[in-house]
Amino acid sequence: MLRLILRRLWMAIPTLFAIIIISFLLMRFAPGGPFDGERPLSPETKAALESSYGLDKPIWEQIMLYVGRIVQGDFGPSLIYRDFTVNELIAQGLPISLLIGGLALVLASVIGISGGLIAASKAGKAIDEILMLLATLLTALPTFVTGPLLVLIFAFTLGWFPVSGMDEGISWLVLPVIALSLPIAGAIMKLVRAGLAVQLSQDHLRSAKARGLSPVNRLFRHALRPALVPAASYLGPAAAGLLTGAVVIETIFGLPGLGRYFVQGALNRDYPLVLGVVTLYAGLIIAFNLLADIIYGWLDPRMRDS
Amino acid sequence: MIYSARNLSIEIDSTALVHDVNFDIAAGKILALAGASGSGKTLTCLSPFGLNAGQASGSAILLGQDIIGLSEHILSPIRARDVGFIFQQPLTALTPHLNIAAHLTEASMQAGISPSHESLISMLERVGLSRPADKLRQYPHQLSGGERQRICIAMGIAHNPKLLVADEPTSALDAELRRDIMLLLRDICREENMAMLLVSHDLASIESSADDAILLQKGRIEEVSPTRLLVQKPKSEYGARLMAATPRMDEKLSPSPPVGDTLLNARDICVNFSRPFQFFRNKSEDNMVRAVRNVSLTIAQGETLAIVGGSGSGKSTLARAIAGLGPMSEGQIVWKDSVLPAKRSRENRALMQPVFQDPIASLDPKWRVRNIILEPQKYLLDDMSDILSAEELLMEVGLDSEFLDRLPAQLSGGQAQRVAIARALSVNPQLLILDEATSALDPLAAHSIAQTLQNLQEKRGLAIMMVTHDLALARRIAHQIGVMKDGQLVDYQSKESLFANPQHEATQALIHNSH
Amino acid sequence: MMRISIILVAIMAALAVFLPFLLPWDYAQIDWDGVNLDMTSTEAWQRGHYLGSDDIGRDRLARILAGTRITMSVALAAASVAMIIGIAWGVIAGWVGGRTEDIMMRIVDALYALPFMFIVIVLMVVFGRSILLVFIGIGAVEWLTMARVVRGEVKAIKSRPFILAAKASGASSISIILRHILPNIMGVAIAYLMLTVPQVVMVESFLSFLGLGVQEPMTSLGILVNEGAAQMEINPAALLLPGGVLILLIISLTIAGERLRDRINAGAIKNPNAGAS
Repeated sequence: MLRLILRRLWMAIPTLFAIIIISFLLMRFAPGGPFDGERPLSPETKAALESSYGLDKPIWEQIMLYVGRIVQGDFGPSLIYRDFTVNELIAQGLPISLLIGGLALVLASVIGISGGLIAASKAGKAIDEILMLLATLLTALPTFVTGPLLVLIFAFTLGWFPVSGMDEGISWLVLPVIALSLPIAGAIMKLVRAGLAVQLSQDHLRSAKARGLSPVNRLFRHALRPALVPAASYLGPAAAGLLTGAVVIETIFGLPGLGRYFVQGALNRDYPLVLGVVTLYAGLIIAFNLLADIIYGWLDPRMRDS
Repeated sequence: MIYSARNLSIEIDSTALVHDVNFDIAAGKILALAGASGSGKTLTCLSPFGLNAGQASGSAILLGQDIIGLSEHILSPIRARDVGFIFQQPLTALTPHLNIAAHLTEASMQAGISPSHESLISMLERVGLSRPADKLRQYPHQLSGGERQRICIAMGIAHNPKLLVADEPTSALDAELRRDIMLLLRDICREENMAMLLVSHDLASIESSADDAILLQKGRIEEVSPTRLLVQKPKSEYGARLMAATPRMDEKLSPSPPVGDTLLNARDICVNFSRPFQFFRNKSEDNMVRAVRNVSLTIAQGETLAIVGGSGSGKSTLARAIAGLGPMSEGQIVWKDSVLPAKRSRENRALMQPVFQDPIASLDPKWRVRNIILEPQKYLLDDMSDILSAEELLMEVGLDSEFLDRLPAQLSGGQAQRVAIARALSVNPQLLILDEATSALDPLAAHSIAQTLQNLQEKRGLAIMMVTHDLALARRIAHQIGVMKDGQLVDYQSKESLFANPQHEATQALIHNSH
Repeated sequence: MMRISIILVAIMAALAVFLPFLLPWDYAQIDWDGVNLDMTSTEAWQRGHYLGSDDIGRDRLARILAGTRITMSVALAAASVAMIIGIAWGVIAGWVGGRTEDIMMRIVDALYALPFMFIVIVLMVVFGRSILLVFIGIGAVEWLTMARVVRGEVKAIKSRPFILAAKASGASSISIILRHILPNIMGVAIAYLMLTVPQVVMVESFLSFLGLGVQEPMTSLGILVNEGAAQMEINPAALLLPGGVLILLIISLTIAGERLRDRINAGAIKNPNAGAS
């Protein structure tokens, strides 16, 4: 098991470097730089600025410098938020994004697992059909439609929650977290339902039934744990989905999270900022995939030995 | 009587599959339900207990109480208290995330007993498992198939049930284990005075353990006899045909027809597989699986060579290497006087054609029978003057031309295997290589295919190399028999001398475990 | 359910293509005298804005139809790109096997681990916002699932004896792939194509929503939702109409794809050929 995790970590390093280098090259060869703004700068000023940000050096040297600094945990200065380093922007944005994303993941798991359990235990009945249709509906709803809709209904019309921004208390969290969690909840619900359907038709469940165990006992003690394996393997994609969703949600709800910095950075060609956020995102996704591996091992002891 | 069935009928989705079955089982006795697949034996066994989709009617009286029509919440405690179950697949019958101790504890709790560590250990010793204390901590996937089936038996008897129901308890196991497990079950039944209902498709294998047997066909009882009598002197017409079709070790050896010149000579065949690519790879011999080691053999015109061995003995790998369908690491295959190249030419391929175990899966599900049969002709033959048409080929394997436009899904197993043989014959090969070609079929279909093959051999002078796990089948139709174990051909002689004088202990063990 | 959703998609496609010819207004045309008309007002109907007009006087219905057209064609094109790359990759990896397969699937795994939406965004930023790039970019990342599914199918089929029989019949690898493998994986590939389409619709409208996808004067459902969200306070219809169409489109496509996949899988279970060793 430990070996598996080490191997995954070992494989993650080249992936991470590839991401850094590819995104760096892409950003660097992009037509137009950060100083090609609406007010043209004089060539001297531009050269001076580029030199002070190291943009005049040969490309491989820039890569080496950049990678070297990243290894030390320094993402460099931001080009558009001139008074801030990327590290400072990340330090500011990350906690907000993590808070929203983490809560959304918890909410999605609760809705998804309980919905999947109910649907599977009533397989073939009306409630199963309804829950599965609901799950499809949830996965098919784009966050950038549900977000504004929730605002329209619960903020503008009913006035229960704030429209945007961060307030005192926690009421500002409710709508963004719900909007972010819905598609993930739908996906988890489908996976849990499908995993349980597979488990419930397995021989070991028939053996348990033959031994006279009650349906509830069979469902929770014998079927649930292995049935959660597909849902656990969804953790990586779910993390990616949360991060992507967070970009939209933070834009819609006007929250100063990482996603908003990313969009601003991308639109304004702020290389260090975009690269920093992409690297961090890649790291987070890799971490979630690792977490999924560890959860596998707990859910199904066969994975520990493979 | 512990358990009796009276006019027991079973249907699924209003299709009647079992009709008016009657039987009784007394304490300490074993009753076997036997029959081919689809005969309704598993339905008869499990449906009254609500363990499959079958709807039972009539009555099934367990300890004086009729259990047919009871609702699940009444039936469930009855199952838990009075009945133990053992299923076919020990690989999947145990819950993967619970260890053996948890399984046994749960099984004992059926009788309301919370077992001590000592009693768990004695349960494992009772079913003949060594190192019981270690086994308790292990998970199912860490045990072998035989060990798992012993665990299942321990669980089935943990609560001292009156009736033990075993559904094909040995058919997923290797031949050497089957006998041991059956004897264990028989001894337990006698010692604990339990009644046992046993389902088996292989009557011969339960001859010495089951007291009585019921032979089912298409959901009806054909014959009820003491097992030994049913196997050796069946009363019913179906029983007689079935037993005649099933090769047995004690039947008379028929003389082998004469053979012609040597066609194929394989010398020192080795097949090595490297283990799957690994990230932390250590360069050592461990990375090599030596599936076939230095095997030499010859096959003559009109001769049948049977290669017999257990699973993993390398017999199929050897057949594929000879057919040019799998890798060959070392050695030479000589056809008449010329060495066959590693990459077979079209002419080489037309010399020998294969037939595989799973008949339906050997045919592309999207293709019609006509195109399937003619595929080898299309690629392998230039001279199309002297060949048989699809109709003629079908006729030769005993099917008529109405099958030409069918899809594989519209064929029975036996018909599909005949189509596969017709395909192999379409290029007039001189050697057929059969990989367990009849073992997926029920005994009657398998017997009739074996007869077709023998007729073809006589008519065309075909050489046949057959790979099989079934020594009795080899004994019935082969000229020469080779025994494989761990990749080596440990014994190789004419069948007469092999049975008169088995050379290797693997051969002796095979003979001992066959019936 | 599957039939209803396929019919719905067909109706939406037909409307998006043909209805604009019957409308008095083009999607980019500005009606200076009819700005911000509500769909319920008589003036809107008199001027031919049956669903009202937006804040610079463009016809809402014409824009929604144009957006649907763009969204659907981008999705179809991108999903086709994904299907072709995915099938080719999966067939090669699954057929060749060994080290090649290992490396090819490691690449897919590594790409899976990428925050691919962000790579697409970076691509958009770098190469400018052209519609061609939108679908190449999306198609190039959506092929991963297809490649995995196809490779799994190919491996399963490859191990079945009819492939060995074809080899013994002297068929070359190319003819085995063309005549035996592809016909047997097509059903699954088409089901996953149908599941990829709504994914792509989602990605395209997501990019457009952020202002990184299709650009003015062209429009897409994502842009319309973005515009609508900005003015939903005063005019909820501006959000609800394009949002509703988008949701309907994605849901119909998803349901159709899922049901088709389930049907094929169920067929595979009933078919005794599947999974046989």
